[in-house]
Amino acid sequence: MIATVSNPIVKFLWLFIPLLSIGIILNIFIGEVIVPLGALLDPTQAYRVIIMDIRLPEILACIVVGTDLAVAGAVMQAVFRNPLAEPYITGTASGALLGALLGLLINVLFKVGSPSIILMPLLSFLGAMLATIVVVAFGRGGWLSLILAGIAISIMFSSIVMILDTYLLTIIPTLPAIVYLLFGTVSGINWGDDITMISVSLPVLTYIMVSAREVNLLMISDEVAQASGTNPKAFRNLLIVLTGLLTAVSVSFTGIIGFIGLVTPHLTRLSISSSDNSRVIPLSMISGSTIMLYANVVSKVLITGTVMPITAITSLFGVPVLLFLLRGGRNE
Amino acid sequence: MSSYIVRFVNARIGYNEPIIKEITLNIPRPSLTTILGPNGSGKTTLLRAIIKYARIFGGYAYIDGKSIDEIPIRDLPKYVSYSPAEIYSQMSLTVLDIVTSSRNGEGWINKDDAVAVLKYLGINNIASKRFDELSTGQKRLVLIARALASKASLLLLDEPTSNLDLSNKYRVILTLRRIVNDKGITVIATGHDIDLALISDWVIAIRNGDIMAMGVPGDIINSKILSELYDIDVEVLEINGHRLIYVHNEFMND
Repeated sequence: MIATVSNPIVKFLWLFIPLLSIGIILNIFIGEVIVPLGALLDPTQAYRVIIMDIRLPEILACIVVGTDLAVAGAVMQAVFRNPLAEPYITGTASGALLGALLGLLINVLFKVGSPSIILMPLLSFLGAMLATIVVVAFGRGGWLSLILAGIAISIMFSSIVMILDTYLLTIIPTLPAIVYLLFGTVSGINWGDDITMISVSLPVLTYIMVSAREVNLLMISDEVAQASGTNPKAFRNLLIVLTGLLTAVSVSFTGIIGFIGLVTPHLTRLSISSSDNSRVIPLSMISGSTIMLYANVVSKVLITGTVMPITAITSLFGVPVLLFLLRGGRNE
Repeated sequence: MSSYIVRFVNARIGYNEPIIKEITLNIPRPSLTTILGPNGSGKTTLLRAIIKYARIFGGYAYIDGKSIDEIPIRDLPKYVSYSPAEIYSQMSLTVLDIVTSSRNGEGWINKDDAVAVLKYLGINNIASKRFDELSTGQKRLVLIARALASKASLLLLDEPTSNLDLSNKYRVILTLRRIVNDKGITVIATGHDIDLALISDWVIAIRNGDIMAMGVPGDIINSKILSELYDIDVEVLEINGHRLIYVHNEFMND
């Protein structure tokens, strides 16, 4: 019995731990500048700066964002009992983006300076919550209506973002941060950003991991959850807030990165043949980080010397998964 | 220890507004109790009141002599477990996942206890199967196993015999009878099943949010009460000590 339960997990780890390690190594060497192997043994000052101050912070950001989005997706799918739910599809990410851009606008207009480190994620979180609340309010009619409400809100928020974006560019034509946010990228991330992201994510992720079985209860039924000692409404609301935080942290530092939250939990469930969140959530952290690392490598190598938007790469393999799930969902 | 596991005194129960008006009832322990009544009569609402999922607007409600108001949600597993008729989930939890996603008074159900309960109900062979791939009868037994695993002395089962074929229906009915006899706990089941009511210790007939009749099955399962309860001409016959029902209608030439 123990063997049959642990086997898929062992297999999963045997596959993903080496993949993750290779992903990290590739990200150290590959980028706008290719770091030669020899530089590891005898690094010149320039290579040391590239590795320590550029590549490693980016790698850590990939791991944090991959983890945050994967966990947000897994939790949303359970909370909404909807296999298609994830921060991008439910409109949460577009709300977070609008909030982050507003933070940037305030920063530019009023020259707030250093508090902007807090202002952008904070407004991003408020935007994420606003979008999610509207989507939940209008998407009550079944599993597809949540998705449709999410798409509608995404489109609306994207329009506001475009208007805001154009306005920002007229004030400061050379503002690079806008492009970062719209396209999704980890380039430019520094250790300070990583520390902020981790200090928000770590407590949230820890709480979610500890409560993974309660997340299962929500997936079963509200009455069952309540009789088992978990207030379903309160717990669901708390989880919506926590996934909003995870999304806001990712979006305000690395912009829109779609479909990691959708694909990763399903990939994990498929490879361990289980939807038990006490296994799916921690393992999705590993697979989410891995996917992000490779998406980042691909974004750097497609055109030498240029970084592609990561969301273009994640969406490219995320959308087929979405279509596949839509087809499966019709049989239910 | 109170001789009644559940008591309602002048209780008005509902969601936004009361559906059940001023009911007073006692459910003896241990017992297999069936709540009969037409659709929308308030059967499920009554069960939900016991797990605080429906609101009690006035009057009193007790589990095990303790006022339901005073039991916080996190302590509910000490008193009660609940099994819905169906669970709708597109997520592929296994049978074991479902049974271990349950709390007793102390904490989460461990795997050994879960397997023991599955074995007790004779379904340990499907422990690692996906729940959504099971037959309706198997699903029902798994949900009963999940409720039983919590070791609460009160099991609430919403429509445990609905949508089952004849043999699965009897399997569930006999399982419920066996649980009550073996473990000395109380099972309250809702439904329309006369056979389940007949094998019960206590039957409550609810109509339009009001108790129409309450008592041992011999006093409740008769032509007069059933006809009034379901608003249709029902005849109860007794053959070799078994009660059978049939419904008069224009297509039957009697």
